[in-house]
Amino acid sequence: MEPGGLVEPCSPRPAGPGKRAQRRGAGTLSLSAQGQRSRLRYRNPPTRTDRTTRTTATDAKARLRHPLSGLGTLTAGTTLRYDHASLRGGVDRLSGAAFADATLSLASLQLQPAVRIDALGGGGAPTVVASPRLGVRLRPLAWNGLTLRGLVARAFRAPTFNERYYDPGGTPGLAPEDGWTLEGGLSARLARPTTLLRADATAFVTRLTNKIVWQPRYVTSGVQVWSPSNVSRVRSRGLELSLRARTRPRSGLTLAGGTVFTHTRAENRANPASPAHGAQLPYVPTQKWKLWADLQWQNFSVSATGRLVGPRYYSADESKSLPPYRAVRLRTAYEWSFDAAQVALEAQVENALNHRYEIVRLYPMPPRHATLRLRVSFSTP
Amino acid sequence: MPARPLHAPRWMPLLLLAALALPGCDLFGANDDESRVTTDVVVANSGNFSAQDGSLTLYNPADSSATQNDINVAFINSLALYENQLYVVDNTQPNNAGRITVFSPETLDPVGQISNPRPPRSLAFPSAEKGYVSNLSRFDGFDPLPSTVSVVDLDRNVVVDSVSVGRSPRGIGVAAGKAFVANAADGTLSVLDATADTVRSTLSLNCTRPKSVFVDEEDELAVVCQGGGEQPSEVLFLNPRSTEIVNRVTLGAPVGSANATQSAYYSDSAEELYAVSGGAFGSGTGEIFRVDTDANALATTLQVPQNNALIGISAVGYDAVAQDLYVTRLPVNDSGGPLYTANGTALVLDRDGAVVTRFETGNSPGYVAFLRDTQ
Repeated sequence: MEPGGLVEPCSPRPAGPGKRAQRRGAGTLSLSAQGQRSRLRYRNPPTRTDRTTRTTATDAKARLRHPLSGLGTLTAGTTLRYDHASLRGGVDRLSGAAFADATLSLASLQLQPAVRIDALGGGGAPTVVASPRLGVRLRPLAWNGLTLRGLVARAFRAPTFNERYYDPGGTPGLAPEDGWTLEGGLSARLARPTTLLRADATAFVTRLTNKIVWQPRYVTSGVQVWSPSNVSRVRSRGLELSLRARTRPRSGLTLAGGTVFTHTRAENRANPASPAHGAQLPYVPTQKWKLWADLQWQNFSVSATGRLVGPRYYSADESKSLPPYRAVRLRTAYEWSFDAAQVALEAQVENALNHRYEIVRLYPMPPRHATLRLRVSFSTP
Repeated sequence: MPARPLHAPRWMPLLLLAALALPGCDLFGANDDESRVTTDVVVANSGNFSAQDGSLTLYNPADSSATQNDINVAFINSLALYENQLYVVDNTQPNNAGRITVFSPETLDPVGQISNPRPPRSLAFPSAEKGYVSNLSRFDGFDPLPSTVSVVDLDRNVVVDSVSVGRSPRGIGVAAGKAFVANAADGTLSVLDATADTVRSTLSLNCTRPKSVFVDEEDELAVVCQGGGEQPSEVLFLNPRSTEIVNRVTLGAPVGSANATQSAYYSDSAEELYAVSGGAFGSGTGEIFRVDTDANALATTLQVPQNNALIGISAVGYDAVAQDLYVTRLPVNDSGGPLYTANGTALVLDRDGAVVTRFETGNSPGYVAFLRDTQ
């Protein structure tokens, strides 16, 4: 990031999505398309930098969902996307994807096989990658409340347009992330007429090559720019524990709450000679804890969400870290429903405890602040 | 026979003087036994610009201990020791500016600060009341702003003037009432009148990228040219009065720092100049050149010890008191290049280039200086 940079983003002008769904027999076909144009002006007066970037993004999606005669469902779809930016003399990218996934129920066993094929063009020969996935759910007991879960999947992610061409800092030659993820866990669910309680525990391991990580890149003495680069090998291991509850003690009143704790060890495994080898990736917290409560009475709702995020290293060798932080958000809303529209008035207080914290070093997050929002949603007949 | 008057022998006063001098009696206000010791080696760790984690490592050679001192600056370009004050030259301020923070060497507490309108590179002192600061020209020839040297009033710690010089000014040497500014991008020296703060002339050096300037014990100017391409690195010796080049000493491999900071060091006690070929992107060879500034000749070429966990040389300094050579190195990153977001390593070498000891520095070590005292 250049010092003293001044970004003056202009509001994007979305052309607005168009969406249509048609039922044919027992299946459902959904079609959607959208376009967006944006203009970004970047000014840094001391370096006499003043450039304006215009981007265009369009995509079209089709999705078909069809039942498989009591065995389960089959979903298939395709996406076509085109991006263009007036950067570096004009760059564009055409990408497409096709996917199919099924849910097959065999007594207490449920299989979820899926495959996604990505095709990426622009900037060289097109890349075609198939990403298979298999999910398994098993109810081992007569009691339906306990489920064992497993998942194995290829984790492929192409660099975004921004990561490749953002100026300054974009890396045109960025390689896609690729790897495998393995997940296992169990869920316990207790349902009563007015109360639902659910607990989940999930352990996961991911091995990635060329993981895309934003970090400062050296330009010249005293000049560094945030830039994405590929970390050749990353191993992530972790555990997520969650508990959710919801009850309706009386008509019109709903109380809900929950908590999620995540422990993630995301290690750089690229070069054994480097002090970064075996160290936690910069800015990836090892521990996160979220706690929330929600009350809804008729059209009125109020909620509180607290987050506690553990230390995050900002050096590659774990020698320096940011202190943990906590953030509390309060929200209240009232909704009116009419025949043709819904109107919601929402007030929200961020950082309600007015705690000073930084997510990125030296970029303090805003102190306690409130927003008031009026939202109008129109119903389609 | 008359008795002869008793006269003390003529050599008696000399004997008395010698007897008094031997146990260390200071007859003339000077202590002949006084010797300089290096109390601390200061390694300025440039830090990572975005994280602003510049720091100072203080290494005590007596007990081989190193302590880290976070001073929260963005990027330290250089250090200067003058009048028992330590000047830390860094690029902390927003809006493409910088500052120079003055520290007490004893306590490492800040005792003053100078705001500079441009990112500063190095600092020299034409007089006790005045400092010259060469300012970073970003991207060299592409920077539309003129390349300048700031004039600092050291009594008030404020920049009072600026002087336009050649492109990409780096090191500054002061001799014979003049200041010599190495213009790296032009291959020239701007000669400033150190009283009037004006450019008197510009000397063409016919060398590639002059960066460091020192004044040796013979009052000659030693200019280290980086070299590159077809041209070797060189040390040029100039007579500051006539501004003539009196010697050219060819080094060979390109001189440079892996951190674009300190690539040369002059030891006045040893009358030796050290320059490193420490570039980390294929340009450096790991050679350390020792130049005898009395004979104006290359004395020795050492090779930094190989270590696959370290890359380049980012700073160099020579402690003539202990005859220890300090070089700092960067850790390797995922692909074997330099890692600028982790702590570095300082190697202490003997005069043959063998490792005596090593210690951990802060992030991206970039400059070495020595705090000394007398005993």
